[in-house]
Amino acid sequence: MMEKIKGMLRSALISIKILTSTAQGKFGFAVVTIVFFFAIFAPLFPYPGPALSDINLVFVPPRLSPSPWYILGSDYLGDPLLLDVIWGFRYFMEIGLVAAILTVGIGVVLGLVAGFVGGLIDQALNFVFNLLLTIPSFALWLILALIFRNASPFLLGFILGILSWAGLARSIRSVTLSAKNKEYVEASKSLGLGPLSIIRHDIAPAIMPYIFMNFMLSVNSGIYGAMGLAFLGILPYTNINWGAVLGTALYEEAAVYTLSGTIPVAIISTVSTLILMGFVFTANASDMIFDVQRRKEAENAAFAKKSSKR
Amino acid sequence: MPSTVGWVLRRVIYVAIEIFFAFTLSFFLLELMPGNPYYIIYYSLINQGVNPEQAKVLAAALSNYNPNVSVFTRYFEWMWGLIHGNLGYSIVYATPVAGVVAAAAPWTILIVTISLTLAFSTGFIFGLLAASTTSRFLDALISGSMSVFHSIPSYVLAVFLLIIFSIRMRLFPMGGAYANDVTPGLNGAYLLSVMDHLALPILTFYLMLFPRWVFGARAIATSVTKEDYVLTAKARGIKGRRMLLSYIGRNAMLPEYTALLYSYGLLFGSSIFIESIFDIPGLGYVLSVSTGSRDYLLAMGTFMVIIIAVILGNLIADLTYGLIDPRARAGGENA
Repeated sequence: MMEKIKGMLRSALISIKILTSTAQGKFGFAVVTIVFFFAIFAPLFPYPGPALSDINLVFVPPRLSPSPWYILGSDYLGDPLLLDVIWGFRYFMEIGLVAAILTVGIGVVLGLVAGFVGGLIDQALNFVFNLLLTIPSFALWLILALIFRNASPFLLGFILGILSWAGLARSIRSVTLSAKNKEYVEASKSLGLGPLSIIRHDIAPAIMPYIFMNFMLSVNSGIYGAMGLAFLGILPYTNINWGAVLGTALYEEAAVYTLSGTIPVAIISTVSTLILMGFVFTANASDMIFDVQRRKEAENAAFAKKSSKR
Repeated sequence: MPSTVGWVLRRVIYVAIEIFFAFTLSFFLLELMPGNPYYIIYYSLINQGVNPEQAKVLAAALSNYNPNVSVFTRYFEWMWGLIHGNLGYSIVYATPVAGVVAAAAPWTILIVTISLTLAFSTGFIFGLLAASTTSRFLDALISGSMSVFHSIPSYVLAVFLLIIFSIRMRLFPMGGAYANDVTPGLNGAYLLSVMDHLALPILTFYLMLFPRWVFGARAIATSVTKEDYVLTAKARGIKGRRMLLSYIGRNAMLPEYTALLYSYGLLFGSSIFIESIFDIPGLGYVLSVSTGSRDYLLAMGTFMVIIIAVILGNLIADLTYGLIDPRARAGGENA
């Protein structure tokens, strides 16, 4: 048991080492770490609710009074923007993670079944994947979000996840199909190994980059979509959704017509763009992280360092 | 040649089946969503103080929706209408759906086509240049700035273009498809007004799409550079523009061409934000209006245009691929 945990930690460490070996990867890793850190520890910070709201401080540029929380300026309620950002991490991660887990779960299972079983089941599933890809899923999400107007972040993520697994399923299917015909899979088959063992040892390494990449991109589309829906006013306004801050600045408070009001808008826009960029950069590194050659090299390098220290 | 005709025929039949199933699936997805137009109108009438009996009759007439009929009956009625060119009646616009969609579609098609064509052509050339540069600084600068543009959400970009060009510089109008004082038609004032109003939405779409084609062309051009025929050409002393366009560019074009057609239809779905922000009465705008009032038949009408655009894009890509890639043509005849 201990050995297994040690092995997992080690492989995670090597993944991080490879990820942070490029400038883009470093940035992505930093963003993902910061987002998760604040998403978990947001309750340690004051909630940007009515207690902090101040009608005289609507969309003001960065300042240190009445409290240092206003270092990034304020939102449409006069709440500190910094707290919106911190609590926003938690809000968006809830949507993004639920959507990502569902997308990856459904996509991988159905893609594997289609690619591995083959025959009529494959043809039928592949037809369904292609069909779902033609239907505008964002429009459907919009309609559903409108119907469940007071949807919790969990429900929003759940709906998004249900609607957006078809693309991943199609990639997993084609990777499984091509892996299935490789010689080493033939060898495993002739050795009498069961399908689960073949999937685990021969096919899983081929689909890992897709799983990782799609997980990160699903989180991304959760943030992008939830912000967009709030921006359009389809989700009820809540200031921890940055899209609502942006939408009110344009449509209700007209903050964008003054220079001082534009500053907090620019700040929240920059924050959201940087976060989205970080997740895309992390997703882009997935090929590298799961490259066997690279992992070996990173492992050897780590070992060499340790032994030289001794 | 007969085998080619057979192949084309099979593709067209497959597409027809795909469209049928996509329509059916969308119809049921939209129909099965909670809250139907009948009850929304019914309750709003009750709230206005209309007595329940009267409200029932009025709601049924206004929503054109019979709550006592099963989903399947409605589906067959809708399909029957569709075959006869009747897409049903819109509640919000109180006119036939076909008319609303036909009026909205040209705006979206215009914006998407212009911005995608511009983004593809300039992005492709820029990507080739980026792939052929040996300066590491320039490469980092390009990929860095492209990443930023790639990650900015479309609505954030739209808001900032509005702030810069409409509010600060007063160069372009705040929204709408044309000014109030021009009469739609083939006259100079109207066309100028449309161009003036569509400039920012097109620019937003363009900036959003451009990086994707730069990245794509750069990645493919980099891999093409390692092909044998490029190495041979290099050995023969071919370089500069001829190398870039005839040897690398033409071969990098193939996968990008397919991707271009695949992405065309998908853009219709993402025009919701840009059309809402700039008040363009296109498909995205109609879709957001129709969803708010559970105007299912209208939502279905816009879905149909999007679905057809996606599927036709794929079909055209498949059918014309042989025309631009001689290898696919030769392979197709042998098979």
